[in-house]
Amino acid sequence: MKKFIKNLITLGCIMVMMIGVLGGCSNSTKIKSDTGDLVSSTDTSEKVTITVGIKNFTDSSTYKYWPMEITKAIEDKLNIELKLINYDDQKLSIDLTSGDMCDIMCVGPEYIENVLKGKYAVNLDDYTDTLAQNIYSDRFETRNSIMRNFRSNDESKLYFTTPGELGEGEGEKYSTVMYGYVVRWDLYKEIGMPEINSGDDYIEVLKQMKKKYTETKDGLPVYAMGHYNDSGLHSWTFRGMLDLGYTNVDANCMYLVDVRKNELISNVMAEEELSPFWDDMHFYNKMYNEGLLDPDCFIEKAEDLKGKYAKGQYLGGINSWHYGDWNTNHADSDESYIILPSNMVWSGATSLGGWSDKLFFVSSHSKNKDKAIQTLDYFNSEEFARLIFSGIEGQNWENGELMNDTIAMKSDPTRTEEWGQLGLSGSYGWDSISAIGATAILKDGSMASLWNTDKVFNSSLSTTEKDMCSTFGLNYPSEIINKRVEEGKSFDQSKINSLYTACMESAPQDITRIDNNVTEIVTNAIPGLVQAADETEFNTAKEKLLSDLKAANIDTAVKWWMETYQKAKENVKEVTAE
Amino acid sequence: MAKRKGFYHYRLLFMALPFMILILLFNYMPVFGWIYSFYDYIPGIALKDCDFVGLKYFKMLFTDVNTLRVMKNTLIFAGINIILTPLPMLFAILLNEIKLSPIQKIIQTFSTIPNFISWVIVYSLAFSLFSYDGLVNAFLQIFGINIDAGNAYNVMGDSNTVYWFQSFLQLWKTLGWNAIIYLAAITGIDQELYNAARVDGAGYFRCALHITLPELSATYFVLLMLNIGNILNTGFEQYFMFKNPQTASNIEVLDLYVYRIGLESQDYSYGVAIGIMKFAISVVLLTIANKAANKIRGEYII
Repeated sequence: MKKFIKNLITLGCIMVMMIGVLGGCSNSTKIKSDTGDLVSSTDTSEKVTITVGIKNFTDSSTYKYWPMEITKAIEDKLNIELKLINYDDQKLSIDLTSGDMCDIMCVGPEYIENVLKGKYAVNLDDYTDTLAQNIYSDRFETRNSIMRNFRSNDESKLYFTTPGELGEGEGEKYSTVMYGYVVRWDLYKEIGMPEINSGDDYIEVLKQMKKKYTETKDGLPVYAMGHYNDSGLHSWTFRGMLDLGYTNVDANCMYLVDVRKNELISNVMAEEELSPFWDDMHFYNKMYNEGLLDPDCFIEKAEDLKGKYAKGQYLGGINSWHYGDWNTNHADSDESYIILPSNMVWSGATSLGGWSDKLFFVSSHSKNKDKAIQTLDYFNSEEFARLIFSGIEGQNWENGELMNDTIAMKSDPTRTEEWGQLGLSGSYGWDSISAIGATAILKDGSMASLWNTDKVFNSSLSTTEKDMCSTFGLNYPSEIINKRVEEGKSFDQSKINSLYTACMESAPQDITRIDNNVTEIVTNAIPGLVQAADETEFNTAKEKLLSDLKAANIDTAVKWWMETYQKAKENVKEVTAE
Repeated sequence: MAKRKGFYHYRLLFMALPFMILILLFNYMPVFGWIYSFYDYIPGIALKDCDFVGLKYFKMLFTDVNTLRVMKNTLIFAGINIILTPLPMLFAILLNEIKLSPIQKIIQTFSTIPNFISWVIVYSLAFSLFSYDGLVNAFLQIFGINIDAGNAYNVMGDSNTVYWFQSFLQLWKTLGWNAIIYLAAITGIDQELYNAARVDGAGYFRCALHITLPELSATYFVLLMLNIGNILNTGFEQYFMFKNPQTASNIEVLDLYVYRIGLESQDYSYGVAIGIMKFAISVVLLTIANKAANKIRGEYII
């Protein structure tokens, strides 16, 4: 009997282990149509689940408030259950290999070859008059032309749509300044609010603020700035980009476009007076030698930075991304951070081709292809844009204006849950999905985002922002941008032609390999440059870096980028008959 | 009866079967992926439609300066780990000498727990301790050392100390866990040897030196040889977390480089080629270690 029980237990363990091994195997069922293709339901009245896969996005399965009121409105409209799934590069590569993708996918231009050669994208031209009427509306004529000519593997078909389209006169606009010179408002007032027109002015302001505030209330040391080292070069070159007027073409910020001249430069190999990278290296070197930079700035990641901002250990910065809870916790005092504009202000940019780094397509392997196309088409509609930016008609807005209760909800700290459950863009990343940008003018004459009006900008200011507005004579904080542009002290991005980068072909593997290698070399050289004790040491470090980059064949990569950008400019001129 | 005897004979084999299947699935089947190193593989496109490039990526290995650098880093880390391999054995001997069982169990438990802590948590702890604003520098200030005068130590940002600092963290994390096998070996030592030694007047130290150490040497030697064969498998999570611009050149080991090339840069074909090179070197080292074991001990490990 004992032996029998022992055998039984042994067998049971083996079975459990075998099940555990087999449990790791996935199983996906695909339905085949009569022609053998993976089928989609042609009955769009049936409620189905539609999945949308987007890179670096808040997954709906882990988002606290999902499904929000906005989500339910979308689901009711389309008779679907909507799921938004976060992707990273590894998951995307795996799904491309297996073909097991979401119904709608969003990829970067580097994946175009993968998608088109693997025949993963549905040709939307087959649905022009049926399910894709919004996609083919007049608003998207330029975008569709670009996608057809440059994003279809020379097949002249429409496979991709993009988010964020903004036509002429519909440039970006925000209530607060998001990028520029961050200051602690209370300290900035104490030192007399000197004007900041350059990096040197900013260093002087930071020095004076640090003299007033040497440690936090908890006795922690205070620094002027820190850095996030998990976004490539961005943290170390963004201030220079704002100072000199460039936006990045690649995610590593190695190649930049002049927003006024629409010329491409290599951030590291350009002449010093043109290069934001070298401008910033000098800037941060000076800050380091003045004892203003956080000594941990080379090892911090974004979360570490947030932690220090939340404790009040920083006095400055370059954007509003890492404040953590500081501004929220100091909303009723003037100890909040505010941002003063730099030379280039982040507004005014149009985007005729949409955001070219996000390409949406319907998967040819989708089990609900027609429903997926219908959903993607809805993402291209004015109705969707108004819904996600402004809310539900009759509940949050009517007659082209936001309701007072909705405006009050956003700025009321006691209604944070309610605001989250509403789920507008701003609290959730819907703007990455809407084909129409927030400041686009819809057919009813109002913007998609009814928040982008002077009246609304003025209605939900914190104590610090009100004080800032009354000090500078503004209706709302970002009005300072308009003033500086009018006075000629700053310039916006209204002259940039985003179609040039939208039409650039994707870098081949050899060039990408060089770019990744040189980005690593530059990133590793930053500490040596920033910590240089004097000009001689700086120049020595600079010469070494340039020598290492040449050995890594950076010239080959730069040549490819310059030629490709030039070709893209010529192609755009042909297509748009400029 | 003979049939039943046959079942008992294979019972243990059946119990091992799931693990053999796991090894087959996750260690042997991926070997088919080596073929990607001969093509310019693009995810989503069938291999037959990708360009065949032959030995292009293997030739690139010999011209890539990063390969030498990461190999150097890997061998240094592995070398330090090998130098430190006696420590778990010494720890086990010392632990065994603790006669109060509850105390022994507590020490063993607390020394083993770090093995189960993720490297992400370890990084956060290390940042809290060793960063410029960390506890270590706070203690320096308490003892009168003014860190504002540039005396503060930022060990996490010092490329010169990265080898020893990372090895110290590795040791802290794995000491208790690695000592378990030696503790098991100690319990297998014949107690009569200790009794005889005590009769001859040997104390704790002499017993450890002349009985415990020689008895453990066989176990130590086998593990040492296996470590040498595994020399290139330094892991990657630890170095991935602690890598920053100041330490990057010295902390990047082979596995981390393969991750950066293969997954971050999505240069899959080149990543596979580096992986194949790593396998080839590991096989050669294991063969040498096996032959050395035979020469020294008179029997092979494998």
